[in-house]
Amino acid sequence: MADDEEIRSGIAEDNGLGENADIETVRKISKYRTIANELRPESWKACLAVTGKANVLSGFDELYNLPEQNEIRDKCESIVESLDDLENRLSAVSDLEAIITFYCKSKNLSFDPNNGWLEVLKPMLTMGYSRTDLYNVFYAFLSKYTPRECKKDGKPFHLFRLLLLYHDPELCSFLDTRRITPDLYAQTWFRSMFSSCCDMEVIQSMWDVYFQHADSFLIFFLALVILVNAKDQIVGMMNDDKESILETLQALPGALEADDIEDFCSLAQYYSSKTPQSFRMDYEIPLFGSTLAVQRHELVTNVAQALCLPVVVSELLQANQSSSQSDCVRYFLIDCRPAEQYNAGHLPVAFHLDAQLMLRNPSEFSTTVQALFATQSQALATGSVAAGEHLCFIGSGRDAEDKYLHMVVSHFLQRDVRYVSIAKGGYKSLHKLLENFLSDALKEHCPKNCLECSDENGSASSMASNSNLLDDIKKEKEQASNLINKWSSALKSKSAVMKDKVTRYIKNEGNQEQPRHVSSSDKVGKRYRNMSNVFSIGDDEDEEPMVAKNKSDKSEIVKLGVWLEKPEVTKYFECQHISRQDNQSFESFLVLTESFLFVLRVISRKTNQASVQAKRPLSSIVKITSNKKRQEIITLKYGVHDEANGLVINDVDRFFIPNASQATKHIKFAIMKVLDALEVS
Amino acid sequence: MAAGPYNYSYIFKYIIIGDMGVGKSCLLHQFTEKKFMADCPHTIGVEFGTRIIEVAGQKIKLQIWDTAGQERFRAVTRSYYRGAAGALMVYDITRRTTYNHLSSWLTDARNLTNPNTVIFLIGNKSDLDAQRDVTYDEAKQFAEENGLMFLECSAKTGENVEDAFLDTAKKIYKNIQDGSLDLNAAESGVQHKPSNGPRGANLGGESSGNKDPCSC
Repeated sequence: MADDEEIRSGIAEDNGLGENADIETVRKISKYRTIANELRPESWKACLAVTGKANVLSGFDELYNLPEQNEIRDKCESIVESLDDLENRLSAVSDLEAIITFYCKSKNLSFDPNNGWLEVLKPMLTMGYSRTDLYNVFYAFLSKYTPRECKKDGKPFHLFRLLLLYHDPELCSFLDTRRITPDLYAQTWFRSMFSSCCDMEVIQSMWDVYFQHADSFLIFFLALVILVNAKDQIVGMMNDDKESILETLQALPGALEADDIEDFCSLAQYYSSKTPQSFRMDYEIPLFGSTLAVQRHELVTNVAQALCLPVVVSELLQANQSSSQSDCVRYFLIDCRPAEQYNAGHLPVAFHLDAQLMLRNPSEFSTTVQALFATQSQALATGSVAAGEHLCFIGSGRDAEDKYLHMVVSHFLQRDVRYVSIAKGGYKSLHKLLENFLSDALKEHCPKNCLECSDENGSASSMASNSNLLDDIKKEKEQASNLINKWSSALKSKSAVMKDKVTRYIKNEGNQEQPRHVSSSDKVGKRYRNMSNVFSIGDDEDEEPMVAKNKSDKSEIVKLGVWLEKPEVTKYFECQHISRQDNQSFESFLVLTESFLFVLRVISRKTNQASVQAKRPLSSIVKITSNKKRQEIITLKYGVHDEANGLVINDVDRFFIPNASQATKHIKFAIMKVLDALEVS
Repeated sequence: MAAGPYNYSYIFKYIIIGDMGVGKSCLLHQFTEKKFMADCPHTIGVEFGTRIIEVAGQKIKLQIWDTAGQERFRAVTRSYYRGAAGALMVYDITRRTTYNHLSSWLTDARNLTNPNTVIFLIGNKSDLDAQRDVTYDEAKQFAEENGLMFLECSAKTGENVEDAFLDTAKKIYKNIQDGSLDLNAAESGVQHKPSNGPRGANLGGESSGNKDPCSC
């Protein structure tokens, strides 16, 4: 670690961070990780784009005459007192007071001790900034990273709840049932980006990473990771009263340590990459836009009343068109319209589940739902274009029928199914977006029977009520191709970074004594260029080296889909197999039969090929351990119980398993069965 | 051949409304399963249940929409009022706030359903008499003033639950008999099954008259 930091600061000197540094410079040097102490003040300024910014404070009348002036002064003093090693305390207090006062005056706001401003300023105060810099950094932070309406019943918390529902419906339902809404526990988290509840060292590292990512929405995923990590603890409090659950929740970030931060942020990135991206477009302006833009936008979105996360249809199409290898969110589309509408045109990949079947024939409905899940997992296993872990429900976009859609979606949500979303505007929007190439994009499209086609010819009355939505669509369509391209590149670069982080995390996990893999011979950025190879499994264009690598492997090549469907297979799990030699990770499947555990390494999803990397008798597994901090990382140890030497471990496998607790449960269960059988015989 | 889903002559649609936590889902569960659900999780959006009952010798299928009480789902739940023949409006006799909100629930119900929809007021949790916060007489008076049917029930013990659902159905059936509920009207909340019934027409709003061979 120490070496690493020296190297990084060495690079900094060479590059001369300071004069013209921008966020790219910082990223190059610090690689989205913690920033060396001596570089932090300038790096933060560079990331927040305030380097060399004018002295706005010169417009301050220097009159400290706000009605709440005394309170401001008191609070400034107590914040300065709480900092141990601050050199000039007196000037720090007066800087703070000037900044708060000027900010209030220029924005025409009144000071509220709970607004989080002082908590935001606290870490900045330790940077030794001049008053001007401090103000600029503070100002930039508030406008870029503090969501609007961080108050009771505020939009950010409704959005946060939707994200929680998306990723962990069970936890969301638990909290909802106890009437614990996010605004009750996460207000201080969002207002000060955890500054009020974590140690200074933790905050500095967190903000280092945060500012480099420059993603205003990351806070939502950080908060999500905190909750999801503490799920067992939270759900375990089912018999406690609301107040004590709230107290526990509020205190959760306090348990973070500086060492956790990089992993913590990587996980947040991971969750972000597993989330439909369209909410960002919907909420960017309401939460982070300028006041003027917000006023114009206000009418369009109704956050508080959404049943689940909405996805705009252009994102669905984009995900649908991208290669099956890309790791943006992939959808399994469920078309819930009545059969006659579905038959008059639908997306080729959409699974049909007639929502009204739930009313007409509940047992047939549940059979269809079972078929749906079977189709989904089969599609996933074979890498079909229709495959997707994320369920997106499409209705007609008409109120009369969408109530059945909502009923079906409620049904899934009530059963704690995660990754559930609704296509915004339904088939109506889809039809609109595809207007010019309907016959190519839709299957069995029959203009005569298609309700949307006949609507367009007929009256426009129904459109009036939906004018907002249609405006949206029109705008969308104009930008469609442009947007889609932008998105895909944004998603790609994001996921590349995320993958890099996960890999790096995996590499370092549990090996704290090993030096990081940076040596003086490394050039800046080299690690990045290499990363794509490490993770080439995910990206089409980088497939070549993977295949080449596997050619030299002597392991058996099999058809993945066929293998997973074998009758003796009792269970399988997607995972990343982490190689011990070089810590690379490979997209793999852990496959359980009654007596063996196989590791299938995916060669190509497209050609459906995999190699059998290992075949382990279940009886040889002597230990299953999970990483203390990251429970998705599971280590399997193989060996024998020797009379003389006790437990002898002769081999080890490590995996990153997204659904680790389920996987280990099943593996353990299978082992027990084998051991029981052995004992009997 | 009359087995399974078609073994009834009418479908009545119900909706259950009221504040969060008053026991709407438990009432439904008690009625359809005859069991009490302790630790019932909150309802997301809307749930759905059915049971076939008998009124005046006619088999009637009740199709019951159980809506989420939380304010956040109001946009979703509002769409279920339309086309309901019966609305069960529930409050919790141990929590006055849930009673105080009745007028706003009633406004919703009146505005969003048709004028013939039977509205039945239920004071739930009658087993918790010791913690009572709303007297029977007060609620009874409210019901009379607003022309509602009224009972106190307990989803836990099952007391009066059956009656509340059945009395609603009887009232709807009576409205059909005396002609005040027009089955041909859109969104009457009642469907007539042609195969068994005496009236022979699909009353879901779609006319089959044009296909009648005798019409030429």
